Amino acid sequence: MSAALARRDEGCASDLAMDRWLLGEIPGSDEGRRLERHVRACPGCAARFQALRSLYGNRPAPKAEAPLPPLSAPPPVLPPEHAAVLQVVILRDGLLVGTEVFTAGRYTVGGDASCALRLDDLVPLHAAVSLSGARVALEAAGGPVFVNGFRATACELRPIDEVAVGPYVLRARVISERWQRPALEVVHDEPPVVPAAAPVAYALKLELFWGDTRLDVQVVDSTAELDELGVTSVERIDGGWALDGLRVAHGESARFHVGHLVCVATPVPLEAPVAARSPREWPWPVVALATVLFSAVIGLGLYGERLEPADFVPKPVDPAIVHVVMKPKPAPKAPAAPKTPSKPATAHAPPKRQPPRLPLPPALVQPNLVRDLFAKVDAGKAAGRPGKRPPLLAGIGAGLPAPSASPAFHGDAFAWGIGATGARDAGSMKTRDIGKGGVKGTVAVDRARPLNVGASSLSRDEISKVINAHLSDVQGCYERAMARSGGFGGRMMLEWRIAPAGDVTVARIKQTDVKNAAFGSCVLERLKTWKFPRAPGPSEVTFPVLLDHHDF
Amino acid sequence: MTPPPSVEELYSQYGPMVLRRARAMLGDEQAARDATQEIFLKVFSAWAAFRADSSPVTWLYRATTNHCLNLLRNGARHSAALDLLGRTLVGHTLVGHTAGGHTSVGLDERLTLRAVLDRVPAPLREIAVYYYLDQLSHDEIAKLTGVSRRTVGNRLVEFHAAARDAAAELGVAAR
Repeated sequence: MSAALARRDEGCASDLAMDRWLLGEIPGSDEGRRLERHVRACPGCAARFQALRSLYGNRPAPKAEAPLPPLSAPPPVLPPEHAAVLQVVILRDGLLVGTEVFTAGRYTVGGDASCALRLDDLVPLHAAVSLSGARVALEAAGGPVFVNGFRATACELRPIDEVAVGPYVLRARVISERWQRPALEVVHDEPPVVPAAAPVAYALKLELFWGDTRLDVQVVDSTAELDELGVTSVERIDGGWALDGLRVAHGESARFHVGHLVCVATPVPLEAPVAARSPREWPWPVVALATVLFSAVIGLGLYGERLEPADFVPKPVDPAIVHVVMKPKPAPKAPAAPKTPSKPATAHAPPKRQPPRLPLPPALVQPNLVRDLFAKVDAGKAAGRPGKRPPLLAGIGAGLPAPSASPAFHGDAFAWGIGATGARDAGSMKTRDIGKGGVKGTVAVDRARPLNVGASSLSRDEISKVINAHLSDVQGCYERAMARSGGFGGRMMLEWRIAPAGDVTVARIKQTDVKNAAFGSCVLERLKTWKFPRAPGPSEVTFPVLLDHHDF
Repeated sequence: MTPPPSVEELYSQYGPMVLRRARAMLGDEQAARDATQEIFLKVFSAWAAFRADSSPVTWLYRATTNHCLNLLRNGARHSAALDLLGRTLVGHTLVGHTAGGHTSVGLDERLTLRAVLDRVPAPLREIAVYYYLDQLSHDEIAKLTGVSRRTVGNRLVEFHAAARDAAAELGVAAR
């Protein structure tokens, strides 16, 4: 047993493989070649092989047949009448590999590139397939060929046969649909049937020339007219006329010389009358359609609703003069002047137009409450402290004129700005968004770091007055920047130099934590337009600005 | 379908192979000749079932194997082949019948092993015969029996399991 186990482990061939080789099943295949190589190299297998061969008698072992001689030139292709084609279906492991179609002839099958049907894993020249007429023949060449499981050397193939060639299975099918030559039909050329032409009547065109000048042209059609011309013998013939015995047919001309006058007579065909169309050729659909339309029009005209005549007659009207009297509108009531203790209303002050207020919802209309609220606001405005930020929202934020000499804008506690609520109605702010509800931030002076006037020829009051007058510029820049890039805030320290003439010569941002370059550039740009009072010398100003944005 | 070949053709071509295979399985010349006759009678009647795409050699090889296994099972005759298979079982599945690696078995043990083999299902026993006696590879067995290589391996494992179960029933120590 151990020897038997070693036999398989050493790669020795089994008795079954030797049986298959001896019975001619695997010679020429890869398995057969492997067996032959091993038997030559293995003494044990060689002994077993000899023993098995003796069991089968002295029949020589099948050897690979010699390759077929080189193929001669392919036979000429049969004429199309016999051109059945051979379709070879190639399978491997049950799967379709491909199909090939061959016409009549002999074709080689093998692994060589010169083979007509080249299949891998075959010997260079394995077999040959021939098609002659509708019959297919198979010849084994360099390798074994099995037809329906039986080894074959040469046989004729039927459509149901399966040919095993190496790992492939071939199925040959003859497509025997013969090409039928179309039957020749002798067609005799017959002259086309030409309808008999109606006899053409010819008139006679007479042209009278004086030298080369044509004087007159007449076309005569009756012999009576020609008689009048002095022609003695006039006779109508087929295709022309006979004038005094001279036959003038179509395409010919006759000349008669009378002194310097020359008369040229030429037969010309008369204009054939337009043949009336037969009823078959009439455009019956068009006729029918036209008839229907015509009937409809007639029917509408007879039975349709008749329009009523106009029930009025325009009459001429005498011209009149119309006087338009406009009723004067009542003059708007002048708004009540704010009662402020610092600026009492005077009778000479022009009435100030207030923007119309939107009506409040009914639920909110409480006369006393609204009146009290307005009174508080007015009181706050009058005190320079409207809103909830009294220290910062004084001055122009309430829509009042720019403070000039108010004590609230002097001293070290310099504080002014643009109020949050009051700025909405501020008429002094000439920016586009101010006053339209777009204000969402405030500009204020940093109280901790107030205005610093260095070596200056201008007084602090003079400088503060100008700054206060132009603070709306800063607010405008702030609002534009916020409208463009959202809310931001911070502290910015501006520094600029004022020339003796009052112009801002140098302006810069000394220090800032505002992260908005557009705002800084806008402020500096506006700052350079500010105009300060004249002074004997230059002035340097440092001005802090607080930016605070809030959403409401 | 191709017409069935004549009996003479089949016998002259494949008779020696079948006779040799039956002789190896049965171990008796006369029994092998009788078996060959019976096998060819069966083959000739069942030629229609033969698949044209398979090899006649392998087909006859398998038919001979199964026929001989059936003869051995029915007749309980002595067979050197089955003895060999039994010794293989001793080496692979069963213990207690070997002494110091010596795998020769006595008469009693031989009868016991035959009883064990008889209880193994026939398909598994056939696979075991191909593998252990005929020394066919998994690939060859797969082609021969028409199953996959993986199935061949699985059936060999099943064969050992069945033999182990049968040995347990018979009181033979199993590994």
